[in-house]
Amino acid sequence: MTPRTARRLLACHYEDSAGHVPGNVSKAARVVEKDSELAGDYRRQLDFDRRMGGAVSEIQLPPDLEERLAGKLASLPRHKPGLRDPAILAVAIGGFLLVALIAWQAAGRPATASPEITLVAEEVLGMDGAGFERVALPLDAMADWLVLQGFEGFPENMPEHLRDALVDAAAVDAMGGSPRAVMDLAGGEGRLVVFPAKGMEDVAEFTDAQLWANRTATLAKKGAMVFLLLR
Amino acid sequence: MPRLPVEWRFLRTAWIHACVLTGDDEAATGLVESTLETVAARRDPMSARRRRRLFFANLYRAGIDLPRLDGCAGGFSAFHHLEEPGRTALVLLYLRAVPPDEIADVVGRHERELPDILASARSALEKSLPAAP
Repeated sequence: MTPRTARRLLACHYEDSAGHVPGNVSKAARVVEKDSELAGDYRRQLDFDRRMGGAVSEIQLPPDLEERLAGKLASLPRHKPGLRDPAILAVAIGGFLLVALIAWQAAGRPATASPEITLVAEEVLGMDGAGFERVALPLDAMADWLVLQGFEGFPENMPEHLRDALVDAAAVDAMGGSPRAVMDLAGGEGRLVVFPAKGMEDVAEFTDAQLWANRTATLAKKGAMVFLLLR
Repeated sequence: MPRLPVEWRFLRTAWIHACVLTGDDEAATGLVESTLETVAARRDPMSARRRRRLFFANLYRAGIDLPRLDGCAGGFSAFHHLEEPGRTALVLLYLRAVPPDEIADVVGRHERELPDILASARSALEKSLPAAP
C-alpha cells in the first residue's frame, strides 16, 4: 500500500465511538505516518471529523418523533406473502418443475433394453437378406410356414401391437440351440424376432426402449414365446 | 408510548439526515414518513441491512433537489448548504448510518470516487465555517 492509497482509504474512515479501528485502517494509518505531509493532513482530518461529527450527532430529535414514526409504521398495510408475489411465484414454479423432472425421470423416461436383449438385437440386425425367403403372409398365418422351417410353438394369438402385421420375408436360425424366427414386416414396420422365452423369465415387457440413437425395441411375451420388434 | 421496532430504529438517524436535506424539522419528519411509505410498500423480501441502505438511498433521491433554506437553524445549518453527493456522504459517515463501503451505493457513485467526494465535502464544510478567533 502506497502512502497516497492509504490516505485515500483513510478519507473514508470515521472513528468508531468505541474506539475500534479496522485492521486495514490501522495499517493505512501506519503507512501514512511515513509521509509527514500526508500524516499532517490525516491528523487535521481526524480533528475536523471529531468536531463536525460531534455537531451532527448532537442534533436534537423532536420529543414525539419516535412515537410518530412508530404510529406511521403501524398504520402502513402489512405485506402478506401471496401467490402473486414474484418471489413466491418463482419458488412455486421451481418446485413444480422439480416435481415434473423427478416424475419424468421415474416414470416417463423411455425404458432401456437389458444387455441380453441388446445382444439379440445386434445379431438379428446384422443378418443380411441371404437366409430370408419371401413369404408375404399375415403374421398370425405364419405358424405353418415356421413349422416347416423347424420352428414350433408359434402362438395363435399375436401381441396386440402386431395383430395386423404382414410379413414380407422370414428366416429361421438358431439361438443358443433353440430355433429363432426372424421376420421383416411389410411397410418398413421393422424386423420381428420370435424366440422361446426360456431363460428370459426375468426380462420384463417394454415399449419403445431406446437401443441406440436410431433404434428402438418393443418386447412382448405371448405363451412361451418372446416377440421382439426392432425399429 | 409506542417504540420503533429494532429493525426500524435507524429512522432516528434517518431523520437527522432528512433534517440536513430539508433544513427544517417538520419537513424532515414528512420526508422520512413519505420515504417510509415507499420502502414499506416494496414487496420483494430484503434483509434489514439492505432495507436500511435502500431507505437512505430513497431519502437521498427525494431530498437531492429540495431548495436550500437560507435561514435554517440548528447544528445542521452548515451541512445543509453543502453540495451533493458530498453532503449526504459526509453526514452518513458521521452518523455511522451505513458502513463506509455502502455510502457510495447510497449516493449512486462508484466506491473509487468516495475518497474524493468526502475530501471535497470536508473542504467545503471547513470553508463555510466561521474562522476560529
